[in-house]
Amino acid sequence: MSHLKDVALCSGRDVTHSRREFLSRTGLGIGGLALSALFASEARADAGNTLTSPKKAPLPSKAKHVIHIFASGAPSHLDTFDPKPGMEKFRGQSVSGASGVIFPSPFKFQKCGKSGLEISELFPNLQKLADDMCVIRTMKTDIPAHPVAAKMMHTGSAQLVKPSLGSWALYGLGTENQNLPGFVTLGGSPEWRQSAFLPSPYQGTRADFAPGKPVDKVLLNLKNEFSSSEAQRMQLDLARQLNGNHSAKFQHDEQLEARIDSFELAFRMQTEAMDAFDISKEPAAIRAKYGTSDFAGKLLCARRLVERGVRFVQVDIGGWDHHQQLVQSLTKKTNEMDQPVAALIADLKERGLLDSTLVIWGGEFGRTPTTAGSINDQSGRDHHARCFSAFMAGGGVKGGMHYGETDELGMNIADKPVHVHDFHATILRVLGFDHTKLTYRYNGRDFRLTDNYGNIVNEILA
Amino acid sequence: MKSWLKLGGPAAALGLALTAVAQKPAPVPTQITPEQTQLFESKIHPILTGKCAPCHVDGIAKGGLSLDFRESWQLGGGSGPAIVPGSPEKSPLLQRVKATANQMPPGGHLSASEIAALESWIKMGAPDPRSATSVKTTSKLTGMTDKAREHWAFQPVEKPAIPKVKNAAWVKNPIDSFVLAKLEASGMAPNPAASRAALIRRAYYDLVGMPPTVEEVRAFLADKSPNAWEKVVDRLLASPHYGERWGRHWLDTVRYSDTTGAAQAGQNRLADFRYANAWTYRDWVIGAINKDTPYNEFLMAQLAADQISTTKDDPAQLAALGFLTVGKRFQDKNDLIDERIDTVTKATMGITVACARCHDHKFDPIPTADYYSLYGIFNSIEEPEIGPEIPGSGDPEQRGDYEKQERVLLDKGRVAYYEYVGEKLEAFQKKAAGYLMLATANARSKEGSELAQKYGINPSNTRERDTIRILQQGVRSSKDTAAVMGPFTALQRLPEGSFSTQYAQTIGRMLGTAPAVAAPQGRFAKQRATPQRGANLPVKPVNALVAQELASLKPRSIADVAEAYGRLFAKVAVQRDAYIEARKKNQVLSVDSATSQLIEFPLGLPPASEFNSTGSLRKLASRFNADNRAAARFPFDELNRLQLTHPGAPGHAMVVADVESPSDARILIRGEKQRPGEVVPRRVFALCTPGSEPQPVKAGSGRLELARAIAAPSNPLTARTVVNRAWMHHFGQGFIRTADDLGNMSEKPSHPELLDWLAGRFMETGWSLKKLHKWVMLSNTYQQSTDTHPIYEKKDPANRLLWHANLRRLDFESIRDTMVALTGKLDPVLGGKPVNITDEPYVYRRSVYGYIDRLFLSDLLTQFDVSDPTMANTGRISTIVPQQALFFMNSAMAVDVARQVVRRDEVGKAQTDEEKIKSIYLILYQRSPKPEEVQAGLGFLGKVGSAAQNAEASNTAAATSKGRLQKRPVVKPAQKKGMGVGKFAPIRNNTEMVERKALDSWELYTQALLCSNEFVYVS
Repeated sequence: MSHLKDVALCSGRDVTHSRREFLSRTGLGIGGLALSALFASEARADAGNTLTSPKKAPLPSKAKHVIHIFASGAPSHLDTFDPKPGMEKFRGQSVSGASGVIFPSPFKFQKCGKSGLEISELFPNLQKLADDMCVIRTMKTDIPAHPVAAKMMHTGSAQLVKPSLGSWALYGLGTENQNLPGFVTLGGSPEWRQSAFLPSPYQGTRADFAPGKPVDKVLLNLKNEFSSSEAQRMQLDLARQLNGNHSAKFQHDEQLEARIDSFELAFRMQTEAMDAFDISKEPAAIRAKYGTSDFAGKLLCARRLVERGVRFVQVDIGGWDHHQQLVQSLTKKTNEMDQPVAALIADLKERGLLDSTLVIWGGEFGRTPTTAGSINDQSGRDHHARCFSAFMAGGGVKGGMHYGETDELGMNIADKPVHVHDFHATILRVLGFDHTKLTYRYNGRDFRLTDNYGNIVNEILA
Repeated sequence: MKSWLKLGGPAAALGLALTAVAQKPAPVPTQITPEQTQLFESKIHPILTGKCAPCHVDGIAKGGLSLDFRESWQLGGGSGPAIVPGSPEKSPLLQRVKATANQMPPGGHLSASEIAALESWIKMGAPDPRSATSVKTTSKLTGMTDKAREHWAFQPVEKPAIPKVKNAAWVKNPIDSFVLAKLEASGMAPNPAASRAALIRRAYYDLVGMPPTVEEVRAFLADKSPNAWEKVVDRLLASPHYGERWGRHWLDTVRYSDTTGAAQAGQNRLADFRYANAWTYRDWVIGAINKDTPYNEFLMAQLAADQISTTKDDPAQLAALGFLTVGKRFQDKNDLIDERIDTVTKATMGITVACARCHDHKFDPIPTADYYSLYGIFNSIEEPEIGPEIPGSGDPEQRGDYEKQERVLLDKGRVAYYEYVGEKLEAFQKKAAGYLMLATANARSKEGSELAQKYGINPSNTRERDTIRILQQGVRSSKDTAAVMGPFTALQRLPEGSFSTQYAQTIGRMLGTAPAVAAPQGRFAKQRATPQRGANLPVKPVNALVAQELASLKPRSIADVAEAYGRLFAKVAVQRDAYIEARKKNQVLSVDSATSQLIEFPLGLPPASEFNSTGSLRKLASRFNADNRAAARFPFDELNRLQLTHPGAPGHAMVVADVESPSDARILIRGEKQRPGEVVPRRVFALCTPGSEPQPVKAGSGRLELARAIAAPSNPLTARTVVNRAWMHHFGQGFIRTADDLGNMSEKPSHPELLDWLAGRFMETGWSLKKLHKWVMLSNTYQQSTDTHPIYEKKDPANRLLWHANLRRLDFESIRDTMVALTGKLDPVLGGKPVNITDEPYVYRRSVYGYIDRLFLSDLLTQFDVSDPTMANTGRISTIVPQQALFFMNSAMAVDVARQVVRRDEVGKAQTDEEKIKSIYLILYQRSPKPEEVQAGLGFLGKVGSAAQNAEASNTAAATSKGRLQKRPVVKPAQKKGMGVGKFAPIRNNTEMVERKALDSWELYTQALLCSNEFVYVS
């Protein structure tokens, strides 16, 4: 882990030293790549002395927080955010490049808001927020298989074990509230929150949250079942007193001091986390706006976390793999999603948090314009990686627009492709990073979220 | 000429005559028109990917032929280009699909229309828009330079002269000379020795990972003999706990885990995700380290124990091969091989060969060709269904009970298998004609789409698609496939125009003489973990009922034949349920063999005797891997759990064996299997053999030769890598702080001469780690105090020159093992099946025996920086986060340990509060408290009494005040809909739950001491 490993020792001086050592080393003429990494880490290390302490983004940015709503299972783009009226004239015909026959969307699209952004009738609530939304219609990924594509969407790699998007965000920006974890996941696979070779404090913290579940069980070891808070305070005071003597013996070594502090943070985390995850403290009117489902509870929780300074919240809403019975299944899913997501965006906006929060919605790939067999009530859509839709709303992104065009059938990208790597590059830019410079050295190589790829989609930046 | 195709590096330097694709005059592709592309995409590509791809894709490339790319068929297999553009008759590909003997593809042959399409496409010049060369290079960086090759770590190890020092009196052994010389050169002096109390604690944690007892501390403090310290070191090196401590370090390096880590979509995971036998490898590691197995032999056994005379017949030694097999599993074979290459090269040689999967290494002289040389080796191994049983690995008295329970589960699996197959057969028999037609068409073509619609089959449905695949690929189906399908396969090749006229002749020939199918070939000469796809089927006489039906048929098209088959299947369907019911009861319904062949077609219902082990069930069930819901029906989770927890269950070595015909691999351009390049011979990679040219392997996969090259004294990296790691574990940081990368991107070693001197000495004295530890620990360098120094602190804040000992936080295992030891109840037994160390009910075993779930690594382990077992990871980081504090403050384990300490005899016997405090100090810190510490304790106890009472009152709901152990049910992980309930649960221990009453004052006091820094830091 080379010089950056020292960052983990909570010791700023150590880092400074080894960086210099590294600089003075006669290298191999490896060029700008490693050097830029070096300077990036310098900027970070100087900002504070713990791994997750808040750091200033190197580039100007509005967004400070991210809520990533991941629709695992791959939602259809053709029935949600990418209207294809032209499909109708091919109804029931077969085309090369996809199995089955063309299946025009059974759902109507409406031009919404001042911008006229087209959104499917499946989202009556989101339609009202069209002017806040930026739909990307030309997302694309490499492999149309769920586990690999989902991993790609979260880590930028289908094959290797790489840090997740949230881990990179936390690594780059730290977090504003040390009393709460900086990257929280509400559902989803461990592979989507992994920190891989980044130090473990950058890993997403799994919150075992569901509305109605005891809040002291949401995070591990959040409450002592066998003693009172009063007794615990006395325990910490005793430990602090004894630690003082111990620490003096070691000239108040920074690790020792940091560990003493960590107990105070933990003490506060107990109450703060239980408060943050307790959505019953929200006024009834607010809760009604989100709805009563598990997913609604998670989004409300996400807002409470962001409000308290959490950097990155990831929320999973699975179940979009509609090979069959598209009409019934998709309607059910969008019903579950529409109200809470719209409520979240509106709520953030009312609180003045939308400017500083980037809301992202999307799945791992899209679905075919065709259905296998024929068009009937069983019809569905298959996996499709060549184009799909995602949307963003909030800090740093233009509202009321769509970006990119797919062809007449929504099968291929006609203009302005946005590969997952481009998507990631853009998200990092929104957070104030040049994605080529947010790097971490591991086993002799400087790694980044976007590997050797990624182009920022500048047109959608506000 | 693309730079990524050029062979550079040592291979080129040594004049190896490897020809790259680009060196051949590649035929200039004529301009392909959009119409040609359209034709290719709609007609030809589907045949190549649908019919040929199961075998002729790279990674499999049977007969050396891949069809993934224009360049691939231009290169061809063993017999030259597969297609001669413009000349269908000269194109081997077309010859083979039309042939009567060894016809391609085996199982389901091409339809007449498909053959016609291929023919006309080749005639027009075989326009294929897929090119391997339309690849952009992304970077100019390359490690293929002389400068990169001159890197110090790639030069042979030469023992340097021991430097002269001024303060010769400080030197205990040569290590001190090297360290002191550097310090003196910087105008610095080493710290004085640490106190004896600090030293013994340091030695215990370093060598056995647990603190000394107070008696051991006292004995050492009292021992005035000159070799008192040496005796401590010797005793610890002889302790079996040494292997547990240092075995754990190696397990980090080799990404040890008890689960596969394979992920399905979302949170779903396959039912069969646990390794029931990974622990046999863990135990081998601990045993080998305790025996001080020479490190070169230690490595060789892990790569090739099955090929070394002293280990090949001993299952306990064969468990060493778990090194290769306990890694993460992937859906793609190439990823599995990559994982193994990555682990092997990082673990043994501290070099990152896996970087060369897609391009030449950017910094180190490792060309892509070297990666694929290793790929050939690791692609030439296989895993058996079940590894050899390790004698004495299960309690013989409980063996009978285990086998009984296993039998019940296997029967459950057998019934689940029959039921599932029964459902599939029912679905098939209802629409048999449609399935047969779809299997011979391309489901993605227009024809396929029309057929699907006509017969009401949805090829997107996982189950229906799976049935079609089974029909297409033949080998996953029953052994009777040819007897049933032979005529259909032959008939569907007849041209549409003359179908009715040719029918009689064809069918007559088939029914009169031997059917025109492939000659039998030894299909499974050897037991295989996964059956090879596309193998030829043995000859069978035609099924009597099929023969009868077809003899009198007057069909106009193949569809009529399919309908006839459909009628046959519908007829036998009425007996199916009774037939399967009988099978479930382990009986046989009396029907003639022709009927039973049809009932079972195309899946087969193997007799109960074939369901005799988890391995065989796994092999049978693997047919249905494509169908997640099917996979979930088999009781693999129960079987694995039983094997992991039943005391009578034996352990099996997780071995590998060479395949019968090992083969060289092709370079995959940019690591993409669709882009095959040149074949490279299997051989060790050039960095292993400085100064000489690596030769193609001579025997088998080449694993043994690779093992020898890695463990050779001439290998420049192996000894340096292990010496650097040992140093890192003793001092908190290595000479090079990247323990798995000594390449060009690693930092300059802090003491290069000492590293080489130690590496040389290590090899000369028999690769003994125990000797290495002893040299290190007997040096004055090691025995320095942690005291700091204001000037040195500025000069060398990272302590790279070793002017003092580093203050270190204990790692997770040491923290937990210490807590367990404090209870006085440590169960010191060595080895065995993994135990749950993170959840209640707790066991007092050492942490190295903890169950490790790769995909769902316990939150607790993650919070304490346990290495991510998805990849080789030597050397942990040490973070300080509030979640660690929460563990000490709130976890049931911390509470339990506090209670157990207070309950110990020495605490109970204490008469006064002062004595009690003293006894707790002796247990926790192995020292007496200072007066002010006693005062602080008394003060706490005085204050906390009332708070404890309050807690008692407020917790009565959750806890009982009676103080008995409660057998409360285990808190189950949240049950979530559709997420594979139970599949996430760690294994469970068969012990009691911890006490649930509120903590009393003394327990609160002890817990507070557990929260202290003194408890988790070693000085």
